[in-house]
Amino acid sequence: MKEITRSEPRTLSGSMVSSGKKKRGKSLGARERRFAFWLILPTILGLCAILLYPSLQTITWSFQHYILTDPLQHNFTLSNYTQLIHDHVFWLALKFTLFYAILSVLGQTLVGLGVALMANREFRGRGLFRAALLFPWMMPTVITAVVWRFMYDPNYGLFNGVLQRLGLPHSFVWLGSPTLAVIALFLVAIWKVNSFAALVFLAGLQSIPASVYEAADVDGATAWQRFTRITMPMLRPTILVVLVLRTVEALQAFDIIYGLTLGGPGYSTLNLPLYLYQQAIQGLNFGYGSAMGVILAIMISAFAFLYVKVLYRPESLG
Amino acid sequence: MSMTKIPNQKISKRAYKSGPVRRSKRGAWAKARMGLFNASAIVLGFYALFPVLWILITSLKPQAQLTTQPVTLIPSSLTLGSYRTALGQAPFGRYYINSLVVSVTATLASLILGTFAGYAIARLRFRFKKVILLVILAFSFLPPITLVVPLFNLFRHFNLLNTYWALIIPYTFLSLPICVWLMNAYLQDLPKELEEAAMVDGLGYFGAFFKIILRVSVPGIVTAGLIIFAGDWNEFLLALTFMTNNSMRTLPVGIALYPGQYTFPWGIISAATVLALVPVALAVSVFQKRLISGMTLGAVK
Repeated sequence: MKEITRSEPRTLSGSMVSSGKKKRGKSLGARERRFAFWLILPTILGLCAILLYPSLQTITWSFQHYILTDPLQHNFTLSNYTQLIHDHVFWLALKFTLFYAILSVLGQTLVGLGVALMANREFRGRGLFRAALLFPWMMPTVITAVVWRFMYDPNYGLFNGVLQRLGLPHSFVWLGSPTLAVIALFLVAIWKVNSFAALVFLAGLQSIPASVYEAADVDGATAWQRFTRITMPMLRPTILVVLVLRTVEALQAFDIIYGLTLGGPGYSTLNLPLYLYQQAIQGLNFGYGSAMGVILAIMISAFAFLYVKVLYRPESLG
Repeated sequence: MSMTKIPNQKISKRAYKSGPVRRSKRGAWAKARMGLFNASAIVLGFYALFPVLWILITSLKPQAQLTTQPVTLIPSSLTLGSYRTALGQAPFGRYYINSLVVSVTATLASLILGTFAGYAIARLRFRFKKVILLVILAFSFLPPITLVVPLFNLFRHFNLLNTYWALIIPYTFLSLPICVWLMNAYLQDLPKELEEAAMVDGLGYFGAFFKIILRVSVPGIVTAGLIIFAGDWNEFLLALTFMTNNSMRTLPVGIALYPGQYTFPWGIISAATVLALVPVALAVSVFQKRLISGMTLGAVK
């Protein structure tokens, strides 16, 4: 009986039940919808008030002259954007943001894939191994950066100390020269995230049915063929998700650079989020910061779109 | 079950064909490969953990061995002095409490709202479900860095800067999309008969949700809660911006801004870092499987 009333609106059997039951079914459905409405309402309202409205405000402010120390001028202006075009620090930061996002995500994904392929089997201590992998990902990013800054310390740091004990050159000022600082930053970024990529890839690898590999074995496939013809195509959706998520995050990288180099030396590791923070929060130029925020948001959407276009192939999902 | 049986048969067939000589050769090769594999697993495990080990060692070093050259890799004696200073003289105890208050409150608020919405989307029937879920999920792609300026202005206007609310409110809603997504995924997999049984018992939708669904979804709530808590506990950008009073700082901000850019008091900072990692380590060791499943649910599905 319950079954009939539930399927009523859609199926033929619904029209055959008596009108009394129909009425009851409708009121049940209406009650269900009302309950759903009240359950979802706070979430939607909150998201609009705390996330959507401020985002729209950012767009508006990017077209206004809004410095906290001056009175807000409501008239429309492109001055923030024209000022950005002539700001060479902005271009440096923009370039570094892209450079950092692309290379760090590439490194994280490749190392993560290697770790996942290696760990994709049963072995003793596997749980321990996975816990070890979880740790870098769960560590607060800014604390990770501070810890690495400590290890990079030229006098009392771990790296120079170990090099010295091994009798190797050991007077690197790791965070003192632009090239070394960039390399140092990449090492931290890869350490922090490759394990996350590895764990996600591992889950993806485990969802590939063993029978597919067995069938390939019967057909005499080599290990390389198994990798290129089975593993990679089946893993493609997972790789896509990791790439999109990580790139979106890497374009917004703030904690790691703040904790490690503060954008220095000079502007060599300054990216857009850090420059935005300096201009808007420290310099109180909300309009200018908002314009950078808009550009950053556009870049993020463009990257997400690009990846989905390139990597998303519906036929490989099935 | 049948899936696992068929491949086994195939393997034994192949082994039979390849004969005993090749089999023993393969055995030696497999052994060597296994050895190589174990060695690289240990190396990778060490690679993932060495910064943490280093911080742990540093936090326990006596003051004099912190600034030797070359560094002391294994200290000759251990002391808790740095921890005493970190919690006694330095304000890390206060930062710890701030972090706990903010993260716990925001996680709970997020879980309540997220379970409500996730339940409605997963199990109640109404139109435009898919669209609503996608719209909620789209919010998780809004970059927090673009929210910093307007939220800073908003909280300044309402005098909420340097109060717990300045972090609890944005944390709650920033993690809400993921929470809805995780709870929706979890609740979808529960048997459909749950509500029907509740209806037969005369509970109604409200009663079914509060008396039955909430109880059986505890594992899902715990998983979502852990992931959200970790995110809130680690957050830096908003905490740095909205908490400008030293006494209101959270632990990550406190550690990053602890005075002494050039002559860093590394013993104290290491001790504070180890303390900050305790909840993380606890979560990882107790809930490892849940964390991984929750983390990958968002990415693989």
